[in-house]
Amino acid sequence: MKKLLISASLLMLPVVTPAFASGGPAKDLSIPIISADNPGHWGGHEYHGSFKRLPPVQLDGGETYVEGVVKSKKIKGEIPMDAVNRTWHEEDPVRETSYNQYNQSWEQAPATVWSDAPATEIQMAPQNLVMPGLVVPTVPVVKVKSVHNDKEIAFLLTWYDATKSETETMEDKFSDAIAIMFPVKDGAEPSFMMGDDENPVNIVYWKAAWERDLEFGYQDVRDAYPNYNYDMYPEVIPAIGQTIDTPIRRYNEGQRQYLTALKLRNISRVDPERLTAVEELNAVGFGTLTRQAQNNSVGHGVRRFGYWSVVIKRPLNTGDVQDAVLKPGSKTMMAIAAWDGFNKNDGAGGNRGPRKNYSNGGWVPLEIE
Amino acid sequence: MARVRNWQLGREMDYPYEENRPARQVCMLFDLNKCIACQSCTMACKTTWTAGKGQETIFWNNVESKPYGFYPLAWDVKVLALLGENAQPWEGNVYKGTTIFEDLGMNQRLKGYLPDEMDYAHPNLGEDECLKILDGEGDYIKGPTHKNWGFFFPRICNHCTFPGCLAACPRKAIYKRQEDGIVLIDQSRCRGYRECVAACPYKKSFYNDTVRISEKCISCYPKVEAGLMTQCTTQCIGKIRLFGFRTTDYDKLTKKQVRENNPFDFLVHVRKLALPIYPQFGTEPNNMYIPPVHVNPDFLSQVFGPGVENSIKQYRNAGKDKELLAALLLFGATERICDTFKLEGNETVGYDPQGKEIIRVPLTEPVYIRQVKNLKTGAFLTNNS
Repeated sequence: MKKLLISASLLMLPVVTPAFASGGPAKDLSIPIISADNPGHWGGHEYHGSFKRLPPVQLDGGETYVEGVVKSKKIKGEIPMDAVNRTWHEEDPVRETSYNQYNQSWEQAPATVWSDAPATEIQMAPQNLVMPGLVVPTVPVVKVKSVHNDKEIAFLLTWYDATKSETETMEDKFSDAIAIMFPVKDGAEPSFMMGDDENPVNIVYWKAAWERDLEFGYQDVRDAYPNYNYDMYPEVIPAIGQTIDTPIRRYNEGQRQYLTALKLRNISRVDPERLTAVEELNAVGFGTLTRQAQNNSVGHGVRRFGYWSVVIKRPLNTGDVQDAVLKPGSKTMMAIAAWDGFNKNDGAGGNRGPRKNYSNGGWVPLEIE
Repeated sequence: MARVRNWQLGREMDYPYEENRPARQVCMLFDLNKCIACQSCTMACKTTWTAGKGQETIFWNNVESKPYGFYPLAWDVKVLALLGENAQPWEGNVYKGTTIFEDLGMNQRLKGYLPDEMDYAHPNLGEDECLKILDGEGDYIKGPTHKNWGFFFPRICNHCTFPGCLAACPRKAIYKRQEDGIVLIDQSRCRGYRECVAACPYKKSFYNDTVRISEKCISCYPKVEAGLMTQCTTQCIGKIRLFGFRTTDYDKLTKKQVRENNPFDFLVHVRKLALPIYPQFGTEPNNMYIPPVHVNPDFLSQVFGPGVENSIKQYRNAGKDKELLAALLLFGATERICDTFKLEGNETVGYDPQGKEIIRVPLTEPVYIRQVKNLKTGAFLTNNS
């Protein structure tokens, strides 16, 4: 028996090399594991740490880069909230979904209002001026474009984030987010560390979790734990057909007392009636961030191929004394902060609050055409 | 970082804010020898404050089965590991190791960890491990063999003098009330960063999934303001708890100005019977525990610090120590907050802050011997025939 086996092994034919493996090293055919440590590449776009080194295919049309300044280009007509494409929709409403669906290449994509707007690549630094902070940047670069039409001004912010984090409905989950900041007073130069006592700053803050809330409804326990059960909440009224899954926006004022923050209208956190994915805030230094009573900005973010593209739009003059006045033909400045909700640092969870990236050097000049 | 005086460590330590002690400090005493883990306190708290949507995993009060029960999972061993495993040395009553506020790494405000969401999925996971001799094949925990022992550990927010949650909040949404030392989270200012959840070494700040902000024990302040003890105290069927106000000022303590007729000062500062929980964390917790006398003293020393031996010795002698017994018998005797007490003959008398008598408890229950039978009718009066 043993002899037989040996002879059989001697007679064995060499393994045929498959055609796809010939020429060059063998390819790793295993499914790539995408994680924060190994972002890999999504949709053919590799992350190079700079938008300038990306393949020529762009998310938002042609690119003209300017250095060290954000230039807001004057355009005619309405500014759309869709970061990726609008003119296509108008010209051919049938092809509404995406280019790829019809085997169109991105290079063939028609121009959008963003195509000719000059882009600025803003290097980000880890916030480590106040504790807790970050050691290394988790969002190293953000691309900014801006357009205005004499009535409204909009900013398109694009950055790479390998992980989509758009829920805060679990103890250890945090959301991706971005914020832009302006000095409130015309010509003032507040500290870029969220302003100072004399010079308040105006912040517009976008969050991925709010974008998901708007799209699929306010995320609640059932979204985080689809199979959970709970006997009964005391605030739920079964007599009128309510169950544990009754959305909290249906709660009356009495029922809302069981959710203290909802009753207190802490709508930065719990807003089942949310209208837009941004909120406006003011600050006069670290730890003083306060939500404005009146929200004049709107925002909309989309995620393609590992990139967030967020449009934030507001009237040039909002009429709100707490907002920065932005005038056509003027020069002011802006700053950016970005958060990667998935990033774990020091075992203390993802980016949030002061665990953020900010535009390196602080303020970036903003020239409004 | 400021330097503050922490009497539990017997030394000064670093803290992000200046020392600012409240006028008086809420304090809860627990007699761990009497806890039977019936969870009446847990349910009293849950039904009063945290039964709403999003609060499924929030237990401001919980009872753990030590040594292997935890909520959230492995909270204390994880924090001890952050301080350095087996690196919390005491020299006498002086702590020589580092607290969560000291020896910090880059970009840290303090040492903490954010529990995973699954750490909240199983309250008291591992509770039965102490019921058998571990042979390396326990249900969840593998470890060295030791003799059977265990005890039940009720825990609430410690309303610390130097709260980790307050130190960590970037928004200053957490504050300690000057009038009674209760630590609260401003529910309209919190932005759900969960820095307090990561910072609290006792893991007593919880995240609410529905409203997306953190919530913590409020020490039943509407009751406290009315002169009543908290729900978890008054609902305790084992009468293991006592709630009230303790003297807080460190200077006065060193000048021996504690109020000996205040049951909290008496048990904590005079007799040193009730000990803080994990004092080495450095937050100066204000809940004090009378350690269980039958438990491994090494374990107790790790949890309650260096005073364990003295405490156990006194507790075993409490039957003969009338003054001590007088203080211990106030536990569970009244719902009113007891400010002072006095031993009167065979009775302990409790007084409210105005000096009005609110409770009178006999040190020894009178014994009544009932007749076995009603002599007239012949009916049995007991059921032990």
